[in-house]
This record gives sequence, C-alpha cells and structure tokens, in this order.
Amino acid sequence: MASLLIITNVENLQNEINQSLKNMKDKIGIYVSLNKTQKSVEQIFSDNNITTDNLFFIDCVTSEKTREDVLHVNPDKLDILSTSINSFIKEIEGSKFLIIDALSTLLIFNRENNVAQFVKELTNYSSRQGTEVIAFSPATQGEELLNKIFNFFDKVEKR
Amino acid sequence: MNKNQYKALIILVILMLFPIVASAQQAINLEIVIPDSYKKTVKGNKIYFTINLLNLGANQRFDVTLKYDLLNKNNEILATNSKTVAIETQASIVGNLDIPDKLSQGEYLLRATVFYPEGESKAETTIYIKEKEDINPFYYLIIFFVALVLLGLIIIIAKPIVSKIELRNKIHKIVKNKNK
Repeated sequence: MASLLIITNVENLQNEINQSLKNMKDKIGIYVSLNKTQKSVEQIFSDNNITTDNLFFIDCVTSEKTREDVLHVNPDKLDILSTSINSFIKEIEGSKFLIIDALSTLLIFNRENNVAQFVKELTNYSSRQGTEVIAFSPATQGEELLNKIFNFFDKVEKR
Repeated sequence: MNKNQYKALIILVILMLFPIVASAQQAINLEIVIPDSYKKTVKGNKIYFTINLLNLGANQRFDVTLKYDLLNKNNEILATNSKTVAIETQASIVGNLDIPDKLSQGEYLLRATVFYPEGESKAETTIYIKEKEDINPFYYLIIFFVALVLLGLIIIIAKPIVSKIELRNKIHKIVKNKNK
C-alpha cells in the first residue's frame, strides 16, 4: 500500500504511531514531527523500545538545533517542507516510508486548500518514488481538511 | 575657291574642332551619394559617402584625383580630404571626411571635385551638422535605479532557489553521514 491516512482520537494517536513504526523496523523512515519536538518523540520511542537509528527527523515544532542530522522546518513553509520530504525520499536508497504525526496541525499555520494541495503533491510524489506514506490525524481536528484529502490516500482508516 | 583653298579650309575646320573633341573624350560625370544616416551627423564624427564616377569619354584607363571639401555658407573650406583613383568607364569610390569638432550646428556643403588630365568636375550636396549630445546626468540616475530594481528582482527570484539548493545539499549530507 502506498499511502494510508489513519484518523484516530488524540489519546490513541501516539500508540498508533508507535505501532506503525514497529511494523516498519526493517525500512528506513522519514518522520515529520508536527506536534512534538524531535527530542520528545525520540524519548517516547526509546521508552517503547523503538529504535530510531533508521529514522530521519524533520522537526516542525522547534527551530532549536540540537543535532546535525535533524532538519528543522517552519510548519508555515509548506514548500520548504515539501522540498525537504522529497529530497529525503530521493536521497534515501532502498525501501523507505514517511510518517506525518499530525497532519491537521498544518491547519494552524496554513490555509486549508494549501494543506490539501501539499498532501496531494506529497502522496503523488511518494507513490511515484515507491515510498509508503502513513499520515496521522486526530479525529477531532480539521474535519473539513480530512474530507478534502482522504481521496488522495490509497486507504483511510478510522481507529 | 580652288581645290587647295578648299583643302586648307577643311584642315582649318578640323583643327578648330579638335580641342572640343579631345575635351569631350576626358569628360567625367560625378555624383555624391550620402547614406541617410550621415545626412545629419554630429561634429567630431567621420562621415562616409559614395562618389560615382562615369567616364563619358574614351574607354581609356587613367588616374584621377578626388578631393572632398566641407564648406560653410561663405564657401570657406573647413575640412578636406583627397585620394587618387584609376578610372576606365565608371567607378564607385567610398570617400570619408572628418567633421571638425569646432563647428557650430547648421547646414554645410559637401563638395567633391574630380581632377583629370583635361579638366575637373564638381558635385555638391548639403549635410546637417549637430552639436554633440551630452547625456543628461538624470539618465544615469534612471539607469542606476533600473539596475537596482533589476538586481532586487533577481535577488528576490534567486533567493528561494538558492535556499532550496542549500536545503537539498544539507539533506544529502544528513543521509550520507547516517549511511556511513
């Protein structure tokens, strides 16, 4: 499956992300962090025995640079975020996946249509490059957006 | 009139006509053609023109001297140039003349004279000489601001492109370092 949108409640969101990552342990991943800093995400993964050795982080929460291998992108710069994700997909060889931890968070910083366009381009590009996309969104946020974008995904699951 | 007198009269008539025939053999028609771009020129410039020569006389090759003069309304020669060329039946020669710097603006006469063994022919035309156009400093200011605006536009357009290239390079390094 090339792209999956998982809509779940806020309490269950992190568990779903953890579970998805555990299923992807043999692949190299790009993790776009929109609601937690890379540091706290890594701590959560560490607590859940999830290795992050194969993960490339794009931190959209903080601009504070803590590690050289983490990319910090302002969430209101969708074009930069898109370029970053595409570049990672292009640079990483072999089987790879992309996780976006809270798609609807982008609505705080961007117009709904712009986010929908971003998602469309992202899923298209990932599909062409054979990259699996798993995007998460809390069920309570951005219903309008979710209605607009669910068609761009191969599968949408409400958990 | 006896026979001898009749012969003498014929010889006399021939001798009287001979100089006219000889002169006609050497007659040269002369024409000056100035391109439109040189009909009005700026002082200090060099003008170019074409001299068309047509030998109306015998088909005999000979040298002629061409002289070009620039004259004012009082017929004073202000600039001159000359060259020698060979002509048989006709010739087109490109001539040139340096327009002096110290002339005032106005209409002047360009005269071409061709000197050949038995005489000379002339042709004239007028040219208009203008003052040198000093570029207004205001134009420099406009050019400067236009260049400044263009530079600004280039920076505005190029900045995102450069940023993206830098971003791609950074990601390339991140992936490369992690793969080590």
